[in-house]
Amino acid sequence: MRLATLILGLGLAINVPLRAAPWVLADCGAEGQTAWQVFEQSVRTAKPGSHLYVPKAYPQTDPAAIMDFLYQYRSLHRDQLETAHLPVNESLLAQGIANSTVTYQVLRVENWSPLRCGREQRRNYFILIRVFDVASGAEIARAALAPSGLYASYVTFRDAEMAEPAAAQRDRIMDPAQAMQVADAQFNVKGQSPEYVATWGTIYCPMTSPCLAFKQANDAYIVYKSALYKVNSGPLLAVGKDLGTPEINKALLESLAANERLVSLGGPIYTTAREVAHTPAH
Amino acid sequence: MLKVGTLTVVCATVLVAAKSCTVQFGSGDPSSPGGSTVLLGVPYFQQETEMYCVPAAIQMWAAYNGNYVSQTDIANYIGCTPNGGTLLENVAKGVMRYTNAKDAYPDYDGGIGDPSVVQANFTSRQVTSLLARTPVLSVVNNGLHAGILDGGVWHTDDSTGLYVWDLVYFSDPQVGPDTRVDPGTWMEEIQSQIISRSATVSAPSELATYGPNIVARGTAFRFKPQQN
Repeated sequence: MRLATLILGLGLAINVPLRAAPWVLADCGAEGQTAWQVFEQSVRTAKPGSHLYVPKAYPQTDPAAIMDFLYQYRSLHRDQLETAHLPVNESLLAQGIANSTVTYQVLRVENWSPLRCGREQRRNYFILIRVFDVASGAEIARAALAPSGLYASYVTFRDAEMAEPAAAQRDRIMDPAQAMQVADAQFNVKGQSPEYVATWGTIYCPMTSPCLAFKQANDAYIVYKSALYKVNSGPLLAVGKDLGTPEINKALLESLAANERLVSLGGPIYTTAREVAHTPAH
Repeated sequence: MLKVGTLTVVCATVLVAAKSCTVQFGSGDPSSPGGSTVLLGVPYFQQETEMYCVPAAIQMWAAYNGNYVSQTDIANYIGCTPNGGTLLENVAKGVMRYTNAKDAYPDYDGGIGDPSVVQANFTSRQVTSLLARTPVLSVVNNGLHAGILDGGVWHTDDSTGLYVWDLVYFSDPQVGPDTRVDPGTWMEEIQSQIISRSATVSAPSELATYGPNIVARGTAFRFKPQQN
């Protein structure tokens, strides 16, 4: 798998594909196809000013994704609001963009959450854009775009988080291959096909804080909160039948062993994952 | 799609308030470039254990009302099990016990009727509660996570005259305060909520009045004005 990770300065336009060879353990059915096509057409034909418009609909390169991010952010005019009326450190992001004192890193996050097969749009992946202050190297914000280029969400970091050493902030999300090397050593594995994933479940990996997933032999693994989990191939759990409301979930959660968790696989499918006891490589 | 309806209600209320020069909801003018914002400023608390998202959410809401209580006390009161499961009605009881919302109840994005109408009304209650400066405890991710709705942003589109719902502020006990979520995504993430009944009484009528003139970022959904 090739996740393009690239740090770009504003105005630096290098055409690098966003992704290649992703993998997923459960995918969408065909039932949403018509609605997804209608939505995609709406985005592709939207005019400037429309709430569905982005300048590079369904961006295929990092610069195009950054362009969509900036267009939408600027359209919010956050720099024109007083700091007191904004969430913490939003003004830092707004000013950094307005003054071009930030750089960007773009990564692909495979979407294993039910949002993958949305009511209107397919979101096979998210485009994660990390925003760094040039002077300090601090990570100011992260934004997740849907494949359409439209916003899904964004966060700004708190002061304590931005006070960490710049290198540590940068390495919160490494290139997947580099992250795989770290995981290989930490968990004594030889992982293949590493990718970042967003999941729902009690393994909760938000789109702006994705987790590393990889394959080894015929099994899939996910690293969550410094622990390694093997994704069980069964039983598969369906939203609406096996889980989906606190009432249904309660019995399911209580049936799990202490080292087991729920993890979504993409579409309305979940399964369990079991923590792997490991011996670090020396 | 629900969110669009909710947003419409909010936008409309803001506009009416501004024209009548009586009450101004949020900060800023929705017709200004920066739009209008409601940011309640609910104090943020990280969840203390991996399964304490609901206790952390109630802790935030309680602190907003000036009541500081531990997540452990809340977890014990609502019957959180070690694996984190608890019933939505117990969450509502916890909200009533520790916050000023003594009429909180579980509100579902579902039930009988046209799903888009159901969703519009559900969203309208969210927005109306925020305008009443009352937080909403949002249950998301197929009922496996929860947090606090802390506000939102909208503006009026000069070219179309429509109200545009721009962002939702969601304080996620795992991620951080005020994650900015686009409404199209938000409407698919949330399944139920604990909300104050008295803070939302005007939601149906406001949705009926303003719903047709609302759009939301990230979705082509349009609100149906019928009440459910």
